[in-house]
Amino acid sequence: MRARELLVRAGITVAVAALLAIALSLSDYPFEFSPSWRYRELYAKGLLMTLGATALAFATGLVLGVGVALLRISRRLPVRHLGDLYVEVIRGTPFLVQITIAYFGIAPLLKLNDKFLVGTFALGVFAAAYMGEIFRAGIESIDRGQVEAARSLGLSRAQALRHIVFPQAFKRMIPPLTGELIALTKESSLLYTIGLVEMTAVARQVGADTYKFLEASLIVAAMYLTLTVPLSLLARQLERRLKRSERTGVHL
Amino acid sequence: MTLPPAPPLISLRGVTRRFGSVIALEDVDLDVARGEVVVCIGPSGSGKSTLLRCVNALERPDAGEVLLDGERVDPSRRDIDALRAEVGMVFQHFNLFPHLTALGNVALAPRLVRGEGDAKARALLGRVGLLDKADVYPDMLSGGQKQRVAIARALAMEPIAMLFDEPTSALDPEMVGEVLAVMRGLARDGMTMLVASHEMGFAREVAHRVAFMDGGRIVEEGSPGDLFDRPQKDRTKAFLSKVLRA
Repeated sequence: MRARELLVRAGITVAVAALLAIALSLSDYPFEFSPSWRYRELYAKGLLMTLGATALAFATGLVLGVGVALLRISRRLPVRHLGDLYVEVIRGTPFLVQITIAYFGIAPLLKLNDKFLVGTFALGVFAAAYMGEIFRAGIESIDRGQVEAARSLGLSRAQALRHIVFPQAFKRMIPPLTGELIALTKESSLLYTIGLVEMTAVARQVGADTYKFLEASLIVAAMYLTLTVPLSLLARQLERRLKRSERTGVHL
Repeated sequence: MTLPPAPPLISLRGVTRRFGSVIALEDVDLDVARGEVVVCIGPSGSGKSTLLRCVNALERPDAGEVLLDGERVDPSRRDIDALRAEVGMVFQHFNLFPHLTALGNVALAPRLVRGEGDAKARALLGRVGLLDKADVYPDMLSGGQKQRVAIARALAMEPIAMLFDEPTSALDPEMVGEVLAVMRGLARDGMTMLVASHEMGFAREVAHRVAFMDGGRIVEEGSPGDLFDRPQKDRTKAFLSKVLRA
């Protein structure tokens, strides 16, 4: 069953790729991938930059996201509203606009001129709004009876959160967090607008140098996919395992 | 000259609790003496659970007060966590922590709150007959086993009183007995117990006093013999005739 599914999926994927390749080769466009090969070291640098920026932004988002979630589940309205405000503002504006404001407005104010730091921190702030929602949903998905049982034993609210709610909620957050990591990998491409040389910037530069924009874009598209598809498969695997354990597990 | 009666361990005075326009508890007075077993019976929604939850500060009364060994139970008290630990609570749906083993469930609070080791937790699992399940996770336990672990967990903080909120209502019939047996043992050992239950046989056998609740009020209370065999109020008679006919 499992092996058959794999075979079908692989078969369809190869067939679609082949059809695309044939369609492209039938066009008049004179494909030339060799110029790009000369820029292989630049592609490698771009890859490292994309990986580094995504990883740092993800870590920043995790930390800030926990903070945002804690604000949003607070019992105090002013605190809760601060969290709501953060999420609304960050999710309600495009990242492209945010990064521009961060780079030209906020960074000079703070006398920051490290593009990498400004860019990845802005991406982390952006990610935190989405991750905060993932955390909040995860925390709120835990049955109220769990906290009541913990409190009735004399645990404080903080102890109940840390020892009872978080460990259970975290398990449920892993699949959506993986999705967020995939989104960030792609979102990091917008860092090229402040002059960070990540994969998309490399494609544009190579295109400009060689007039082979299409080839350069196809190459980075393939590079993005080699990063995101394994993550996606991993997320699916985790989700499947989670479903299995939650089916046998009684919902308490 | 007679000694003044000992003050009740649990005392509810004019306790009222509303949920929006629904009155869950209305002006309820109830005393539970040290070592006494009081069973609350009554239809669903009569306020039994809310009454128990007020004793443990899981609900805050809108009016009236709850005293535990003379101390006012109030969720806004600074030492509410310590006060809650004095009362063990057993829930209808067990509320075991699914990410911890049976032993982990029982040992968690003593370890976190009091820095104790696992020895007592093991002894308690032995007491409810589940020492061999110490390293098993809740999802591998039957309903009856789960509830016995939950009872051991509630006992781990050495409470002065135990609250049971319909502890057998979510169990398959063949598992009710094992849980009631553990509760019977506790009562025999002198534990002060306030129980919300539909188990009339248990109430008759173990309770010192039975309270019949309806519409958020205690309609009638008395010894099991009086309440079951010589109920005074029509409402009590009507309820008993329905549940005892089976």
